[in-house]
Amino acid sequence: MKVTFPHMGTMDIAVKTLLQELGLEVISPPKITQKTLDLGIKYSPEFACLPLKINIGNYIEALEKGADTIIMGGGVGPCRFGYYGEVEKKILKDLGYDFEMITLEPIQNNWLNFYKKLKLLVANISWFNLKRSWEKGWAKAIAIDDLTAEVNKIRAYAKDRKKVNVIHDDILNRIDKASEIEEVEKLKIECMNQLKELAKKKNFTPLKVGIVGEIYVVLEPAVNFELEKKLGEMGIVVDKSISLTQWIKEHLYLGFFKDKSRFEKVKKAAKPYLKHKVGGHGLETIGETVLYKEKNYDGVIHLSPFTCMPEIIAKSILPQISEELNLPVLSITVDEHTGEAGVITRLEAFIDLLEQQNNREEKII
Amino acid sequence: MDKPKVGLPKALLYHRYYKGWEVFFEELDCKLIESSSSTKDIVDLGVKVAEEEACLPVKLFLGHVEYLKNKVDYIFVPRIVSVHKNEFLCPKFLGLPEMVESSIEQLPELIDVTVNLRKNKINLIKAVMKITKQLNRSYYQGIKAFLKGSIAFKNHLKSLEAKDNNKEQYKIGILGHEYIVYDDYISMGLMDKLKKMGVSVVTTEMLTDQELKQGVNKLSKDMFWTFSKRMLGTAHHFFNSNEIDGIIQLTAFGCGPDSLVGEMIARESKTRTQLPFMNLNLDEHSGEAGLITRIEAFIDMIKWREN
Repeated sequence: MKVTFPHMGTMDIAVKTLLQELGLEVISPPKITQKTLDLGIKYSPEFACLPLKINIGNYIEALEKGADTIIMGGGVGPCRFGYYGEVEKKILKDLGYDFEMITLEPIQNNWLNFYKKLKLLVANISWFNLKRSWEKGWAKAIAIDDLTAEVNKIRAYAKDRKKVNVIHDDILNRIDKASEIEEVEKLKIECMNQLKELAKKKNFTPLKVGIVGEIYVVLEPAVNFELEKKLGEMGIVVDKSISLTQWIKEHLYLGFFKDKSRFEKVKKAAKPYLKHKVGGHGLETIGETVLYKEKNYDGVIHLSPFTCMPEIIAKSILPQISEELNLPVLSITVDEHTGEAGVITRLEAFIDLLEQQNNREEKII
Repeated sequence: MDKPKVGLPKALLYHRYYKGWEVFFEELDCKLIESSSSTKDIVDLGVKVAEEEACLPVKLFLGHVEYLKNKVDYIFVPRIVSVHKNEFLCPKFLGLPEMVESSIEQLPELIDVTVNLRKNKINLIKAVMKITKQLNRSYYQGIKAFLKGSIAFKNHLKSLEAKDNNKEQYKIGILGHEYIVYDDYISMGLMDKLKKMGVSVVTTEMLTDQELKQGVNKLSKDMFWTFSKRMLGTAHHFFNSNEIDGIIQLTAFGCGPDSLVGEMIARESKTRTQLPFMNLNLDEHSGEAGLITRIEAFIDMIKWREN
């Protein structure tokens, strides 16, 4: 059995480790390129959202490399993602590929079903091994998320901003290759030190921008045009409201272990504007935007794939929040036709606006 | 005291629940004001105020609210999260009141109760009580209105199930959300056009619950959107029965569930049957002449196959 899975940002590093530790042969799909996107567009429904199209591209490239089993997440709605697996399976079968698709449904709904699916993957594995594999994958995921957050904070201050990217890319590569938890932790400390030692700009107060929106577009640099890097290189401190590990803590952990604290906060912040969950990350988008204002951020960038249902609701409410809180919000919708140059122009205009607003406020004081 | 005027926008779930809603609000001693059937002006109003990416049905709904807003004291914009155990409606229904509030200015008071029957059905009574309270009516009157309303709604569904009796030579199955199929402006009178061509139609509403259930019981994954599940059930019923001569699928531009479920149905239909299948994706720019040409060609093809 040669398993593969879809890409989402740096998720592949942790997932690959987890699956390998479970004793599976893993074939990661190649990095997302124009070819991946082209394949996805060619075979996906026209009005499906972008993540599905890229999933299809990932699968086709991985199946061509020899994979025969696809692992995919499921869901119970109301976001379209819950039905991705079914549609993707049908599309690939119609194309004539021979493979198994194992869709892992949320364990909360039907643990027996989840267990059966797990058994399909790994016939005989002890709970001890399962736990160990999870811990290894988790250590990598946590290290990557922490480092990425740190890099996004520090990049703006560095004299040589490109150097930060070099350090970051290098450490990601090495975490990918690391085989022990201790090694991962050492790498994390090493990277933190490297970042600390960089030459910094003095007397510099950068603008702060928060990123909200749909998880796939926020986390996948191939579809958000490496937004964090671009902003960082313009000298802006960036904070992403969503990370992979946070998402797992909130959605995959069971009962008591589930981390509800952040969500409760977000829900409360969103209440004046949106009173009910709308699936996906719609409510989070609204709540986090309000929270960024409370944390004194200068602006918020809202990312979503074209036709994303929860984000359309959020997008129609955001102008009201922006006006009432006096917080500039830039909504960027991406699909296969979005051009990088256009996005850069909009970003630059947005940053200009933030700078102007900042100057004005200082003069009043 | 004058009766309070309650506005019902003639869009989205109105097309399914209107019989029940009408009786309910009349029993609560309200004057019902319904928006006119969709027209070009209403669509234009909606397109103007709506978020550009929103789907056609939501734009249409906003148009109807815009049409009603100066004519009434209240507008009924419920947040219908779920109408069936363990199922959902599309996310747009979950955020509908907020979409209305943020898109339309100078709104009258909204009746924006949350209806969530995902875990239990008692929530429906809670929603009823909330409306009763908002309109200053007694609990007794609320319960009575609710019971009468649900009887009216159920009778209405029963009356639809009675299949149309005129035995035409050809029979076409129609797939699509009720708020597309039964909105004559958006569907451009498709049903009437087919009837005039001597073709009888079967829609989801004409099938029994039993038939719909049989349709979906072989799916490898349960569908979590109630109305898409009904659509899937209908499609599979059409695939399995020999009564149908062809299938026309109506999808709305920008509809999220349709983009996946519609695709699944189109693909299944190719692998499972020889039935002619046509998809019509409708938006505010669809032209009637183009539609007629396509329907005529489709019907001609069916007739030609028979011969």
